[in-house]
Amino acid sequence: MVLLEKLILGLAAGTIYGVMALSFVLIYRVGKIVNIAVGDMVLLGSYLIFAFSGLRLIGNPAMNLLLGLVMASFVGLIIAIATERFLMRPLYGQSILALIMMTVALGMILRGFTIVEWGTILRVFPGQHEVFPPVPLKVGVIEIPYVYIWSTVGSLIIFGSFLYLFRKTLFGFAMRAVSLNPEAAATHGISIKRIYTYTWMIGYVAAFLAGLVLGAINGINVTITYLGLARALPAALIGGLDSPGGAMLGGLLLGLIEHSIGTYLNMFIPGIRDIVPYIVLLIVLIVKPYGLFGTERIERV
Amino acid sequence: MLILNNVEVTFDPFILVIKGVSMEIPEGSIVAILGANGAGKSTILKAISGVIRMERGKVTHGYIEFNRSRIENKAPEEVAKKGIIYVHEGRSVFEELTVEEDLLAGLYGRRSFDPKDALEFVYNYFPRLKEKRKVKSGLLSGGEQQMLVIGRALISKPDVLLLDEPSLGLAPKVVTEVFKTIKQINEEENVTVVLAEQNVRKALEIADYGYVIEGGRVVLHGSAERLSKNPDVQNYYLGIGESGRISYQDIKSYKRRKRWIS
Repeated sequence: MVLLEKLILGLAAGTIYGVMALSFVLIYRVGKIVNIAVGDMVLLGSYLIFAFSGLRLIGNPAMNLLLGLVMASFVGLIIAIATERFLMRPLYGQSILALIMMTVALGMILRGFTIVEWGTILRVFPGQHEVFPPVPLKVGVIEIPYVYIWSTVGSLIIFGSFLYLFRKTLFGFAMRAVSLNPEAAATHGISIKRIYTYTWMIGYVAAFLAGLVLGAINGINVTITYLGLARALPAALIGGLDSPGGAMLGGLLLGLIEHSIGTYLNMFIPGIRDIVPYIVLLIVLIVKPYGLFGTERIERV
Repeated sequence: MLILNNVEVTFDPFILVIKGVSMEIPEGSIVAILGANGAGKSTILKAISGVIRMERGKVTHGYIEFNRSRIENKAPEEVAKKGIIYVHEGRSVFEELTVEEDLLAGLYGRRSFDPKDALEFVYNYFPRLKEKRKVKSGLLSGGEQQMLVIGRALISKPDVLLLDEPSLGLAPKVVTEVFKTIKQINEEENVTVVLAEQNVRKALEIADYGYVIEGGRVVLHGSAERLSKNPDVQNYYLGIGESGRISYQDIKSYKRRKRWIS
């Protein structure tokens, strides 16, 4: 029963890792940009939600928090436009390394901004204890904290709607076309720059949702950056860098392993819980270098 | 009507590739741009479609006009929105997408049509694509991929199709099939076609008018009929000598290529 509880907890945590990995994978796949700033985007998200929900525009604390997320997401869209226009666009056609360095710079800017604006003390969302009661939900003998339930629901909604967009709509086809052959896509009237901007928008919104969840679990503080990056990267790599579905599965796998094997081993070797995901990552990469679901290029013989 | 007037194309920073080309491409016609490797055929098409912009090239002199509006140095997606679709040489399919998704990606930039009708419209010309609509386009045969990229260009009902070497790497029989379909599209949909080709014989079979390019200049132009009767074209591109086919024993290849302009 304890194991079952840990597995459920692992899956719930995994969904939010999956959403962070999705943000990373999408930007990598479409724009060929290794986005080191993903952790900082998560951090910025949690602070923006903290700030907006601090306005207390709605009495109901749950709705207030949700409104904070929506308002933060709108700000995220604007930041996405600025990111693409002013940081990334001048570098298209330059080396991959220049783009990576630019995302490192982006991360520094975002993180620095949050430190300047809100300092480094640990904060919690206003009304957090009413929305996510500290007493976990009991189903039989299994105890699940409320925050995990809501994070799973939120993650699945955002992931499902993204997958529909990506796989079934003209917009999704255009996005994938740009990721495969930008030049050919442009000759069909698909604006590459605009697709890149949309990609960043989705990336920011996904990261902000993760910011809400991690902020609620961990408390809002600059450590979220490292927590985010340390989970988004291995999840993305396990799933195969360029597959959104793989990102979610990678996240789930990561959550499961962390909460089952990791928690178990942690009783004997304190602190190993945070390392176990990386051991799994190593094994996966040795066996399948493209990750579990990464595309191996189609080549006609 | 698509007009090129004294167009010069320079690639970064000063490599002059097209040296003053003028063309007139009337609506609803098939115009062939002929020439050997490196003559500048593709660059002319890329200049019209704006793709040179992505390759650090620029129209530095002259202008390109489509239906009385200037289109030189515009971004490729803007040119595409005006109804001029460029089809890359070498079958640039989106490998990981299925045939159907690949076709629909061509509709995104100009989605004024119902996707279902648009697909049927393309399948009408390329029934073989319909059979394979769930197959990933990277796995199609060369001929099918060529049909796919032409179909993807066709799906948004363009006014002008710029086809860059559609015969490249295809079996002669498939080339005949592809060219027949191009002619059919031109006649039934009144689509203007600009064809850059090395396969001069095939191109002149379906074209109304032709331009021979060499070294970035137009060296000869005229109706397809006149071109195919021109002794120089026969000699240098069609391999026909005055006494029927040339015996390759008599050729001194380094002397053979006629230089119109030195």
